[in-house]
Amino acid sequence: MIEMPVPDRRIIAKQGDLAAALRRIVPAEQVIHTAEELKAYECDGLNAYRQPPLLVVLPDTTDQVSRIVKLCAAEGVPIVARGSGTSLAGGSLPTADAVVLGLSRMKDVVDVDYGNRTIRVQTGITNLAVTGEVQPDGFFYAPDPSSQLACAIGGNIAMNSGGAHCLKYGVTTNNLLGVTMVMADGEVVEFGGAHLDAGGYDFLSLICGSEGQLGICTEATLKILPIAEGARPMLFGFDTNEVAGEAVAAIIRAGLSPVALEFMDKPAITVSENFAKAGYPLDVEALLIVEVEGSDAEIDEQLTRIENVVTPFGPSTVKRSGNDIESAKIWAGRKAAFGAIGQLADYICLDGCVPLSQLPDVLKQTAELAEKYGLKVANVFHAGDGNLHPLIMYEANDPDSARKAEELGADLLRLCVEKDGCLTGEHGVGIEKRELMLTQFNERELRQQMAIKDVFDPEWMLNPAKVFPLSLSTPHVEDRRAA
Amino acid sequence: MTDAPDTDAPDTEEGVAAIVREAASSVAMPLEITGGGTRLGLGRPVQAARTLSLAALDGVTLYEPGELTLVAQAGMTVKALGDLLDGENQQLTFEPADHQIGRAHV
Repeated sequence: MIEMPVPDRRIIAKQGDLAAALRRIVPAEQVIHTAEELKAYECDGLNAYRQPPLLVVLPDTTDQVSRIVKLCAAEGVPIVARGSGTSLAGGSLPTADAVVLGLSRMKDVVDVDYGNRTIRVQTGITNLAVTGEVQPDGFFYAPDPSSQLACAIGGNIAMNSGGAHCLKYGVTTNNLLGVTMVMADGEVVEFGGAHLDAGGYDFLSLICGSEGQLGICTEATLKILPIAEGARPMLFGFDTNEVAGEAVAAIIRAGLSPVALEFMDKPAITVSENFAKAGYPLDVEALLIVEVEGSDAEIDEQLTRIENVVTPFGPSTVKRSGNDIESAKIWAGRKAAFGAIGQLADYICLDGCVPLSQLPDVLKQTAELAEKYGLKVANVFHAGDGNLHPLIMYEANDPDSARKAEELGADLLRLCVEKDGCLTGEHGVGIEKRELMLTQFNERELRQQMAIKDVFDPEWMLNPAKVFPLSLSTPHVEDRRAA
Repeated sequence: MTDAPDTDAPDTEEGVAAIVREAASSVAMPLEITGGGTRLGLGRPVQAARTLSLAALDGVTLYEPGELTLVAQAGMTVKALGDLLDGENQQLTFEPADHQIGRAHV
């Protein structure tokens, strides 16, 4: 079980006064205070952990955010910023003594600039709505987390989100050019802008992925790219995970740039095929789906080169899509995988990264650890960048099974770190991996990171109890606030 | 170009750390930090008691062509790095001007 700090009763006692003060900043209906309505904000995508906040406030403008932050700073009330609440790591889990500052009303497109290929948005806009805004003119926003229909750009910036396309186009940090950020004291500061590089320190890189610890981003300037003419995948089946892993490394090494390079292991193949009837071979141990983009001729050329690179590894299945119907069929099983597994069992979706060369060994040890815990694990993941998403199947209503699943999850993330990888590829740390940060960093390194938060948020009022192990942060926060 | 009389060129990270630590604990020991020195002719010379040259930190500590990943030390020349990458038909995506070929450092 993940512990949360003891809430401050003195803050909870001020709920009524605080709500009244917030209603002087935003219209009354944009301050949520009843127990029933607060329940909607009690958790995010990590829904095993729930805690309704003290209040929720839903501002419309950067100026309102600034005034809310100033009010909370003066009253000593912590703030949890929240985009759409889809975090799988508990990145926007409230505490009982915190105000949730929800960005869901801040969805305006401020400016679209095709000449410079940028778009300026308020950060409550959903990821897919950004693409929706520019798609009619042939453009798109590249990072595409699976939750893109719902997740907000603010949360994407906080977690430096990725997605299936990030192998070719990079993650959020590679597509973010500037932000307006409300600092912990309410000051409004601009970082970056509609240009590739700015003078001075690269604060934007520090902010992207800082999980709401340093400030609240209210507007963002994003890169937009022209949509490719077309895309088609190829499917390869292999007799062992090891050889499939080697083929992945060979494709990358050859300098080919697939837009997606997805890996499915045997448990994932079986479940998906039973569900989606995509025509996947059932006598293989691993499948790779490799998709490339471009004009028809370009796609054919690239797929031929990929086939030439993979053939020496002796794939037992090779299927090349020749048209949209065949493409849809190849993707059907992959896209149905999570839903198919969800029909069989409850599952935890982990997120860790390893160097490509370690993939085969990590997959082997994952299977061994799963067997030790008596749980099933399926692997469906973005192989091109070594970003693993083991799905641990368990029984949510059985506390013993839930505990084992959590322990296995922690073991698997430790394995990623042992193999020179890291705890998170695209989901972030949140509360989920907070205590595991000590396996990735030593205490001195974590204290350095905490010192950076001290500069931005001296009283530690922003997004409490996330990212840093409580054993380090709790005494530190007490010291800071006492000083 | 001749080096200032007291130039240190450590070949380990520990060596660099020791010099920086010594400078930080001294009252008046600003450090000039140099790589290949290809832009030293621009602007005023740095007024520093000592020069810390990174030129001897010129190795590659990791190269995994299959992962498009390379770790180079700060004193490696852009030329040497380019030659290494050529062997695998790879390149850097950034391209700093190396106007005194072989002198510009990472």
